[in-house]
Amino acid sequence: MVVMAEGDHSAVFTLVDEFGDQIAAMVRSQLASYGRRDLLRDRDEMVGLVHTAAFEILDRAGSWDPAGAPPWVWAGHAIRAAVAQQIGHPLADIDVDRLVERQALMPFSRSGPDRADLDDHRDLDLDRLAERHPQVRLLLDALSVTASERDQVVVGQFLIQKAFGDPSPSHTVAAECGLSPANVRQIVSRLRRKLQAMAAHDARYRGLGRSGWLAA
Amino acid sequence: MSFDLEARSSRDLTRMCEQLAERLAGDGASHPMAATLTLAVRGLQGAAAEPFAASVRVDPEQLARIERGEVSFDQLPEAILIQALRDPRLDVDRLRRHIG
Repeated sequence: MVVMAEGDHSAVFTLVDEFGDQIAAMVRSQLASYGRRDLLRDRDEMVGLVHTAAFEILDRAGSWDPAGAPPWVWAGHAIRAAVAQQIGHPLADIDVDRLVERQALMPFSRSGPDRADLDDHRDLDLDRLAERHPQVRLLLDALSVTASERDQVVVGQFLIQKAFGDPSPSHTVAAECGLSPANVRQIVSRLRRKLQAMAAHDARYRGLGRSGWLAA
Repeated sequence: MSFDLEARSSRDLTRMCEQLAERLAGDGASHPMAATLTLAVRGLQGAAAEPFAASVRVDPEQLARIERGEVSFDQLPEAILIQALRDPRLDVDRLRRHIG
């Protein structure tokens, strides 16, 4: 990896040869979290996705810290986004530049909406998802009438992290948004109850009741 | 399915070569397939450039030119081709067919 960071492309082969199993485990975990067990059984797809992950690592190798996490963990966001895009997952609308334009996405970030913050959110653009998915549009609409701008982002990021299989989404979102994990859980819980009530009592939002998050 | 059982078959790493060659071509390399094959041989040996150059009896500068895609497949040093052909993870014939 150090060699890769120096721009030596031969290292991408070394990476897959030596650490293909670890990268594959990460890809498998992501596919399982999407419920794409069909792809888990498709050997060609799996191999292609591992290669995709390796190239994502290669592209970012220059900023990897050898003292930190293994490269496939360190590049986890980018790998998840690339895998989601390759398999056509609904959470795959990636457009960092558009997110940069929408700096309001991170109005309360500890360090402000700089490029590093936004890079962590390259995984998706909720507005673009809403254009294509009525359920997402309905959710964002309901959030917009019931939650502050900050809380909308908190819930949106929480659901994204859950979708990506993050085992501790409240901790991730808390770190990203400068809140405590308890704050995040409270915000999510409160808004979930509000949205459940809207789904139950307002015909316009009845469709929200089919959302796995609200039904859970 | 276990990744390690079959994932390093010739077909798979050849696919990876094709992907890297596409990227190198996109970066402007004139001979991306020759560059990729050489990078693959070296990478799969986990060898640094200088010792690899010595092992195939090529000047390090020449190896750098090959890996930058400045040397055609037909002009690849025989020692590199022999190592590629001996590596069961690489399908040299399939890669060569891309040259056209």
